[in-house]
Amino acid sequence: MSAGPQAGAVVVATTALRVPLPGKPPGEVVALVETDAGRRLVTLAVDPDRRPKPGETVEVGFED
Amino acid sequence: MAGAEQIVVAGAAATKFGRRPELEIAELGVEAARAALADAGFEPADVDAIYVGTFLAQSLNRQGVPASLIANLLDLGPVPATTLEGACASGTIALRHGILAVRAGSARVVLCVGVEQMTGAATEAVTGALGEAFRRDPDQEAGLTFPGFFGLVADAHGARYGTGREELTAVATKNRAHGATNPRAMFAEAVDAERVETSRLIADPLRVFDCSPIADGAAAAVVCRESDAPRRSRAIRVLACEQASGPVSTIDAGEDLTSFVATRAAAAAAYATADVKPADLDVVEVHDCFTIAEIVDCEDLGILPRGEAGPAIVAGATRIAGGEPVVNPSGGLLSRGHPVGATGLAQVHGLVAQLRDEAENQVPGARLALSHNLGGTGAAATVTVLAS
Repeated sequence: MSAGPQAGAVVVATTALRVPLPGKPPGEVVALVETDAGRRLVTLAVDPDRRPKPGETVEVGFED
Repeated sequence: MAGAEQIVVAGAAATKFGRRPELEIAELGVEAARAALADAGFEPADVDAIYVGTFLAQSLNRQGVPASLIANLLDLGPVPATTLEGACASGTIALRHGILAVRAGSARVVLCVGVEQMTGAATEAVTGALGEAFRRDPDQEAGLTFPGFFGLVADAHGARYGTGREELTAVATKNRAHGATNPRAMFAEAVDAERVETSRLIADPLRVFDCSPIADGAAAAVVCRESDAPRRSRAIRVLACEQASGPVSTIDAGEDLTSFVATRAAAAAAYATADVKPADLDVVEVHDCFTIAEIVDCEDLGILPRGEAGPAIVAGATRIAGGEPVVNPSGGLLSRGHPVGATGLAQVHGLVAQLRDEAENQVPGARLALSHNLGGTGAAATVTVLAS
């Protein structure tokens, strides 16, 4: 997510996309998270082998 | 859909699935359609309407109106020709509409075709086209792929029920073992657990052998009233063919991604219409586009208890030898390949063979069968119940 307000979000599930896609670096971590404003799909700047587990809280940025 | 005038699948057929980029998409459909008509004992002139299910004809093959083109190539004359799209459930949505047309009395004999031509395009193009089954914003914008979506499903199912590598591997090895004797399968070769577990990661935790391959292929079924079937002894009764829909976007998927409402709704309707229970089923073909999908499917269909499908599959509860019911004796999408619009009708073709007692991986005494076809993120699902 782009820079903006940071908020806590509870992870529903994550995956790391290992196959290169146009405009996407291999290993990018995609997460479905629950926020106060509802569910969001976000990318997380984390090691794909150390992805947060469902139920953990992460900080994600939201566009203004 | 059980009723006074029984609807039947009079004939069914499927092409071999695999790499056939030299053929136009319509030519694939024609191959399956001709074989299904021959199986039923009908001539093209007997067909009153054709329904064709395909998802990618326009985006990948630049071919509009495939139903009309297949009708042209079969020389069906000016019969109504309708193309239907419901992502990976397109084939059985075409079947359902054919059944409805017969039931409504608007057609006596209906040809239902599912078809896809995928290997002629670059993998990136196929990935992008399949991604159109996601909502554009946020899913497509986020770059989510279907391996990625089902990777999320596997992560969520693992967190809630403990499903992990052992359970995913068990699905892969079972289906590849079943598919080893299917002459129409793209990958008719068994694989062992080590090979599955050391294969390349695609989208955590899913590896290559957790994913069904893109393929070219077609399948077809001819439906009519039982009294109109030329070979009544070979006709298979359609007890139900129900369809439901669900969220197109991942963010709208409820139940922490561990269940698909469309499957549950279609299954509930199908069981009620057919007046059968999951425990009555002898043989089932489910939509194992990914290994985790088979686990979720079995739970959503009520075949195995919620949260217990993985361990049950590890224990062999759905194998040909001893399964009650047997799940994916054809090898499923994981072995057969997944030309998306063709998959549902290929499932039906396999079950027709089972109920005629002539399948390669015959389930002894199979009399009642179910197919489950899932589209996209669970945006569409069909459940069909067939009986000998």
